[in-house]
Amino acid sequence: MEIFIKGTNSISPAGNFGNITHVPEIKFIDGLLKYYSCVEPVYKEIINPVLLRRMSRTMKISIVSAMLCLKDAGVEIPDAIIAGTGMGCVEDSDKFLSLLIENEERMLNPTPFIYSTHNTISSQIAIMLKCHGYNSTYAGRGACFETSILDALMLLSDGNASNVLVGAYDELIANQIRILYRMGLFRETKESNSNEISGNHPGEGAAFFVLSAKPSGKDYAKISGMSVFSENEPLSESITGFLKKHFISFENINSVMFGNLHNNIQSGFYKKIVTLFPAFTNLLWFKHLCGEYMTSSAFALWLGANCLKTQQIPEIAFLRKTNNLPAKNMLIINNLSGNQFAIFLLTK
Amino acid sequence: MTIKIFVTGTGIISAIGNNEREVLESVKTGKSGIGISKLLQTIYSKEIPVGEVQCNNKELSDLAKISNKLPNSRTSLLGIIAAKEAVLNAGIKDINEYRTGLISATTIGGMDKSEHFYRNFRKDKTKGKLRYISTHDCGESTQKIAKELNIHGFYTTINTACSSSANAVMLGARLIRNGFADRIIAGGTDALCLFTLNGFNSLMILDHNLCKPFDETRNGLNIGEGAGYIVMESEDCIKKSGKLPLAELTGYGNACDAYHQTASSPEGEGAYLAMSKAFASGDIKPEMIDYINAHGTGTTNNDLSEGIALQRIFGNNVPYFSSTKSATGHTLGASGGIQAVLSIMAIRNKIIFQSLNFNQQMKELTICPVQQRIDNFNVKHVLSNSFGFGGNNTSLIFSAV
Repeated sequence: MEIFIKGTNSISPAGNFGNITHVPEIKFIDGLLKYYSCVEPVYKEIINPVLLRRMSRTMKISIVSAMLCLKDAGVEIPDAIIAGTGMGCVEDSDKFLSLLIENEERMLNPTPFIYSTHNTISSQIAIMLKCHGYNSTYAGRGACFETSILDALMLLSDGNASNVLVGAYDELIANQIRILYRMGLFRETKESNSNEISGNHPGEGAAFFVLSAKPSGKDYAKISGMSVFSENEPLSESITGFLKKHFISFENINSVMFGNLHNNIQSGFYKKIVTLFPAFTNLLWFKHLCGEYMTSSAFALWLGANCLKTQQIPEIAFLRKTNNLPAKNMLIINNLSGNQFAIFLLTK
Repeated sequence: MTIKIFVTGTGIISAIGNNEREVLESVKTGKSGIGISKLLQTIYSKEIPVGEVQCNNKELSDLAKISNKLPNSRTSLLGIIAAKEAVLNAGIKDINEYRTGLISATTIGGMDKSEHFYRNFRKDKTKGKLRYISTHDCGESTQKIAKELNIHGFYTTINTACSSSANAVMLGARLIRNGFADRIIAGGTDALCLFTLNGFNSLMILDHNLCKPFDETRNGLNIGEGAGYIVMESEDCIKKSGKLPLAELTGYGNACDAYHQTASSPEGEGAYLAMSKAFASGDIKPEMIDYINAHGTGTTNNDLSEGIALQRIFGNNVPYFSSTKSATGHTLGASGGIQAVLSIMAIRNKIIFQSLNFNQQMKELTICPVQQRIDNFNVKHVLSNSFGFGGNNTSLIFSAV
């Protein structure tokens, strides 16, 4: 089944689609730990300042992104709200956890606990919109954003919804960055090769989509297929099988966007995949624009959808530019944490 | 025609038993699992009773048949035990014979381990054992359960607070109906930890005595821990294997109360809509329901809101209902899975479970829960309610086969 992206918005380290010309500014924690941080809009211009005061940073980023997405789609109240998040509302979790240890379980303010739960965003959006429809949140490592899309696809194909608001969010806080570096997931040192651009920094962001089963005439793109594979499944065969299932050949894919962490793609997970595509396929990447986080697939989908709508791919997104064909079919392949990988097929 | 969803296996661990047999024995005898915490190290252990599984992590590792060397969160251990029991009871030999997926729900994941980590990390950012904090995200326990079950297919994690595992069951059924899977293991797991105990305590919704669901003098919930999973299979799967199902999932509904982050609306709108949608999703009508396993936490707010919603749906003919949370405690993300297993237990054993600690009729309602177990009752259809923070409400209907 095909679903149409009627509207979309992202708040990310890369900023607006039109501004994607360079790698986002790198920020530092403790003077040496690099990370990417969202370029945030002036919230009070978008949302009631009274409501804003009660919101954590991730609530602002996610809820505002969702509201701008609905506005973009021209939808006031969606029929369902579904969100995915890797780590959830980390700032509030960190705050409550630290306090409970510090205060030895005494005199605790419940507010951070209330907003620490992963479903805060989808339910807060519902409360703001008075939306009583289907509402769910997928969480943790693995395919949490992809499951949100799959859930929306089923709602649309069952005819239980016309417009589904689907999104993903993850925020970064200082303690988390420290932990991620200590785990060895990111490198503290400068890049050894000056030609190498790295997306291998912790990142964050929110991206939302209004999905519909019917074309609106001004859609960004269609999600023509999506699959999640476990690492137990053979990589090349999985991708070949995916394309076969959607009646499309490798030759018909103008561009493929990878979730690699470095512009040197001749190593690691993506090395084998690159060889599947003919030499004229454009190779794109996105993690140098948003950083690495559990729901970065949502940023990739937002980027891809914008490329198809505007028929322009930002120069900075190319790993290999080998054709100038109008962007028609795009694949997004992202290696997820938790031994899974996901493929999206986007078509104009 | 809609594809039928059959339940072929169930697994459970909770404060009233480490497996199905023990839990059934407890609910028959009206045993409560709520009491002083022996394992959870909290300053409130004497003040605030909890529904604790009576095994330490080493004993849980043995029950789960896994090594105790790696730091498994208690949430993972409970989940592995219940999910393995469900798969065993379903008589599954080769789990990848059919396209099999796992949908697991949890609200706190490895928070018990994160608490250990933060004790040291808080003061010195170079301290704290990383193998503890690496269990923090909600997907960690799901990945471990999938690995233990040797699932090669799809797995994902749901966190819609206290309705999480009811949503896991619902998603599982929809994945099968839409042809994305033949067989799904769905449910949830949550362990007791300081984070949730103190969270609910700071909201002042923990009863310092045994909780009294739907009682006029109810004064909050008792927090519990555990896990509950069911195996769901498509009609085709059952035909091929010739397996006799335990029950059928005949309805599900998800709606949002869209009222308040932590309180339910006074008219129970979200609860009403979730139940209405569950009835609209299949052939079961309200008058066919024999028993309701209510969300019934024992908080002033929930029981009033849910009670009103029940009266709105069923009018003057509200079926027998009870809250098994009076025995197990409120197991948060696991509660929908645990209730699913108990609902099927009620059908299979022709029992309507009693609600413990009920004494006084609520003024605002005309209904009250079942106080004495009812035996030899032909339970054909059970409605199971799970409502969560943020108004994430889900209702499931299980039927006899």
